[in-house]
Amino acid sequence: MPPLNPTDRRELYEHFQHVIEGTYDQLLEDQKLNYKQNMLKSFLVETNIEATSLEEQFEHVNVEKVDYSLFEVLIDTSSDEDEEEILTFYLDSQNERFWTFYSIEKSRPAKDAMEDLIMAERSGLDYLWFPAQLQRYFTKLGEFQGAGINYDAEDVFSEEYIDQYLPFGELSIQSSGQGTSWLLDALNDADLKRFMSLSSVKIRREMEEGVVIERIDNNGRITTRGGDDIQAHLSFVEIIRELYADLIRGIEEEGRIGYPVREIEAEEGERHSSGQSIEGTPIVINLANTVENLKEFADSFTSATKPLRLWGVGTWIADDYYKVRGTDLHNNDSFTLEIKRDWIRLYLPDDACGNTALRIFSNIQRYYDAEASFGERSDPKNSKVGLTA
Amino acid sequence: MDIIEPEFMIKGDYIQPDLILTAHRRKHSLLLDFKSYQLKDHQNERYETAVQNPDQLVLRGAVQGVPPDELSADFSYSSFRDLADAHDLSEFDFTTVQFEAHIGDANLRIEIVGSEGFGEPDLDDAFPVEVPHGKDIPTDYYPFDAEDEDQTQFCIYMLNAAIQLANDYDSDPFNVDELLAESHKLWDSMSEEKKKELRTWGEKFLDKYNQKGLDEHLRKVQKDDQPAWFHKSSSFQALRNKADEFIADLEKDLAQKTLGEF
Repeated sequence: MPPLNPTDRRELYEHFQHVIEGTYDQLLEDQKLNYKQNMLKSFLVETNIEATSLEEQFEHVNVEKVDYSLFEVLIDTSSDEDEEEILTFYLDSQNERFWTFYSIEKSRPAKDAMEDLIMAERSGLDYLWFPAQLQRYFTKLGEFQGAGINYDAEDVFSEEYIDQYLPFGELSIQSSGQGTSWLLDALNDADLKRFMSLSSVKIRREMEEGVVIERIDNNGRITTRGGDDIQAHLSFVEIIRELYADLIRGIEEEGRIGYPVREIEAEEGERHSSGQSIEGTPIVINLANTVENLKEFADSFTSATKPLRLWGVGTWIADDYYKVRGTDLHNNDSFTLEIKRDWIRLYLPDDACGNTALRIFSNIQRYYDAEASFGERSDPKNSKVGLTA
Repeated sequence: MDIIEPEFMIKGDYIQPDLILTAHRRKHSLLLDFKSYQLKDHQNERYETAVQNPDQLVLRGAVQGVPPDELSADFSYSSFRDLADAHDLSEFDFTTVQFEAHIGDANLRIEIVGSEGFGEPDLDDAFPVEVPHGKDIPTDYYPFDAEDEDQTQFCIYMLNAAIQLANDYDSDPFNVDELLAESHKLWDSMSEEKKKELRTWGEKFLDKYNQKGLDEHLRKVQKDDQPAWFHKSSSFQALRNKADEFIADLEKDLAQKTLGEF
């Protein structure tokens, strides 16, 4: 395997090529990996900053340019107690809004380092938040081989709320092989489907370039678990990114509310700004799991904690109608939620990031109602993936 | 929604309806003025002039996307009361609609009262409009007004605006107008009279905000340079624990009238 000090994209991809081939052969032979022979992981990240500003923003991050819009990013994960450890990532920032970090570091430290980076205050970075509908769509992009289900109400709701209103605090299922489809179908027929939030899907994808086996996590991490061509992986990452970008574009075009100021002619020929128009409609999220305690539900989702990082204050506007005005602490956008037992309206201002909508929606699916869906009028048009039921 | 609170001149007269709704397919605009009690004769005459010269709505820029000579217009007063009881509008060709909350199975009912109807038959057919229970009307387009029942929403929106401004500029204090513009997207278009009322509330908000130490609290959150997210998170949680008490206190202050208001 060539040393990993690439001077351009081709050398980097050549190295990754060896990594995935080795992984593939090794997995087939021994069903396990050699030491230091980790799998290739690609982290798709939503951003509104420049790649070079990472170094200014984070003391423990070092950025070196490798090639056109390709950077080597070294993250120092050492703390007082631990031995010094520097993790290497490669950042492709060619797409200004959706970056890809590549890494062949061990899975857990790489995932933790990315989380520290993304969750840091005013990082300007965010995960991609794949809703269940998009995760299901991924299974059609190749031969479906496995799935992970994680329902983690415990992360958001209090023990009392779970005891009183939810059958599970946590539900976790991992399945691979041919039985996965059968298992999902069987579970889908049961009441369990409201708690079956897909956390990952695994597919085998054959393309012109070759074959790759990919695991796609619901926060934008794509792990190549085998294959024979790096180009197949790169093109797969691009497909995932474009599917997500389409959803975000649709939401930003149709799911935000603007108040444009109108110019009016006051005197002959003289114009001045007066009057405002209102454009756009809120996003409606339909719930299959009805909400029994609106206030506690809303307060739990807007308590400023990870992963949602939403802060808000709520009020009753009728006996069964609760409203929260809040701030997305990730990007400082405002939002409003109106909540009834079986639907939620989400209002975003016209300069809000569409990622906020998908963060709220996909976390509702993961922590409360796996069957939550967008209402018909909220579904982003011109997107290959619909978010309706 | 075409436009909220536009100000413009028609045939030398100044008018300012609260709302203009335009059905572009029908090439028809509906001018609305929301009234609690009093109607003024000169306003009636001016709205009549506007309805008789709909092309002026386009030429002045209040309505967009319809050729001026093809636009027709209606005017309506709307109120929670039956305005026809107190005012004789028979010499004008106006319609009056009345809003009533919680009528029978409806959460809100809007019906034409004391007049024949609109000039557009399809518009007449739309009435009465009933918003059923479970389909509650959206509340965020116009988040609060200077009415007593909106005081809670005002407090909550202002508190969030304080957080957003503090995060944006890394500094406070902020002035009342900055907070109001951040919390109410229609602030710039509001009448001076309404702005004045909301500024009075805003001053009380800032007094209470400082008095309760929320300014210090927010500064602490801003300057919390700990890398771990949970430090921030606990500061914001503490801020929310204070928020309910803060809002309850502020509502009491807002409810107290100053001598000048009697």
